[in-house]
Amino acid sequence: MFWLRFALRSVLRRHRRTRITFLSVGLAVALLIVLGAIMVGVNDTMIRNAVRLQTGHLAIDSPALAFKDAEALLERFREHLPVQDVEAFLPRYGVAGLLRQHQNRQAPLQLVLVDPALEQRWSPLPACLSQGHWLGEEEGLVIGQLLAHELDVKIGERLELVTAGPPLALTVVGVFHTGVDALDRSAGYASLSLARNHSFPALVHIRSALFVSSTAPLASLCQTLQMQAPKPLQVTRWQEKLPEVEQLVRLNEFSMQIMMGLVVLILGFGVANSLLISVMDRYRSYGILKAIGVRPREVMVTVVGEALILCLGAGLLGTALGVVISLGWGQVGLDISHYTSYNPHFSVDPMIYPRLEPLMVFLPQTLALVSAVVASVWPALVAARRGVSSSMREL
Amino acid sequence: MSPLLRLEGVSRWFGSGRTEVRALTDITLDLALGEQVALIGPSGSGKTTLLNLLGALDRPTAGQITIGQQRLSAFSERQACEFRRRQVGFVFQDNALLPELTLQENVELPLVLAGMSRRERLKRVCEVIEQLGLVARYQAYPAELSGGEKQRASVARALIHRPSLVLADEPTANLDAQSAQAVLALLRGLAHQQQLTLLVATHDPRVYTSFEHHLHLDDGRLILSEPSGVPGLGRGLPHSVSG
Repeated sequence: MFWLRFALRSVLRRHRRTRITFLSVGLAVALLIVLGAIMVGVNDTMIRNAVRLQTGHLAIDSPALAFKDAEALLERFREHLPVQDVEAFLPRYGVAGLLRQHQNRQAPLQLVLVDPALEQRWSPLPACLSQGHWLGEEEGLVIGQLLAHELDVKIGERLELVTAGPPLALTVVGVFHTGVDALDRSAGYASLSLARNHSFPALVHIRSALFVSSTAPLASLCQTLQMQAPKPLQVTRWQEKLPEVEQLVRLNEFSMQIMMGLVVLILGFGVANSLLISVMDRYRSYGILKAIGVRPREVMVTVVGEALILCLGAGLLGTALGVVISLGWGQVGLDISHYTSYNPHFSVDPMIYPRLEPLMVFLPQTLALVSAVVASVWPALVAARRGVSSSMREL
Repeated sequence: MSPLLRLEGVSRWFGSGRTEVRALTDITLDLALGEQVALIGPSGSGKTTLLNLLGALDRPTAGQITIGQQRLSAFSERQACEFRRRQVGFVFQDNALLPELTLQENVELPLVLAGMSRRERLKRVCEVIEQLGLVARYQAYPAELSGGEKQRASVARALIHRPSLVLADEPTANLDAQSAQAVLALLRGLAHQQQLTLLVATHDPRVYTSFEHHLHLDDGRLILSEPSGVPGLGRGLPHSVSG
């Protein structure tokens, strides 16, 4: 305890050295926390965009079924959903067909039958409309911008949907632009009531999306639902459905780890340099201590103690600063559309909201402490190993 | 008086070959418990080197140093540390207080190392500081003390743990005559009171004339060991200063 008090006095006594080291450690910790929050925010945005637009957190799929069977199957599945974890369940049915225009232009179409009201609330698609309006009418159809351009269709124009059965007439009520090429070029959305009221002739694939709360344990929930789901329903996590997004998230985390490693490394060198200069400046003090009978181990404790005190104090301050900046920034958000306008993962919603995760709050401080202790070993050894008589010559 | 320290043919050389410096050559002497001796010699004569050897801060290149029944020159680093901690008190030339600690904490330090309880430490520190007339400067940092006050505090630190040997290296070098006399009187008085061996290295006549026993060093050799005013004793031969 005495030696830690001695270390504290040394820290307080060397104002300039302490201020500079304190500032660098504090800012490094704050920077790491803010960078961590931005990384989490970027991942959130990517996942949110992809999940809301496409699969949901959990995707429920089936092979081709008659529409009525598919609807009955999904109703049975819905009965097993744990109310506390589920935020929304969006029934969706996919139909592959051909969209034919009156001038005999035609293009393949992946039609998705949806509940317009639920989609309006949960999917970003209605907000991506560049022309017309969202679904509501029984025979309405919303298609992607590229598809509309290819078929040269206008709002209000009637098209034919050709599937295995007799063709269905649909009216284009809206055109959307998501920035996701596959959707804009070949996807179309129509109301579920179309299938319900017209004894839908084609076979459909269930393509439903389940949204769960952020605290829900996704993996175990997926496993449980899969066990309870009536066959042949398949429950899949978004990570498996959208591996490219999952990879980007991992890449982002890996980049952050490298950044964190570099900052901690530089921090370590900075602390080592600061302590080494301080030790060299105080050879005479260490000489006195050793002459009095202080053991090398105790000398080391004073040097390592200085590093600990400096980095603990500066780290706490840096953590507070980082948390305040991240929370503030998280409220305002950061529009990165300038850098991501051609990136499908950000085209729907380019806003990033930095978010703090407990690990990213405590990790920088812990790393700074560990780095400081490791960095202080060298100066501590220099102080402890220097011969007593050579230290005494500094007197 | 029984011998506390015995040096037999002790030499200390630094470097090797053409750069070799012979700081001490073939020193043989005894120091008895309670003895007070002035170590005299010009700058570079080896006074500090001899003090370092006696205080286990350094090891001799040749020869043996014995304290009681123990061979100091064969001590491990840990044993040397323990020896300094328990049996030696150092008074350095100047400014040898730790700037990070207050006067009280500087004086208290050897007791902390001895593992004494805080209560006992404070009690003894209070006694000594009062004895030295430094009560008003109890919580002052070294930078706030005068040269004389610092040296008195150094004396207190050297003696507070009641060592058997006190080594003082030019303790009055940077003090005015009045302060020098005060510090010296204090050092000798306390050493006498505690019956400990005191060796003071100096080239200041005001200091060494007050000692009965002198050791004269020149160019690393012990050229004279004498009771005051009786020159020429024991030149180059093993002998006891205490006679």
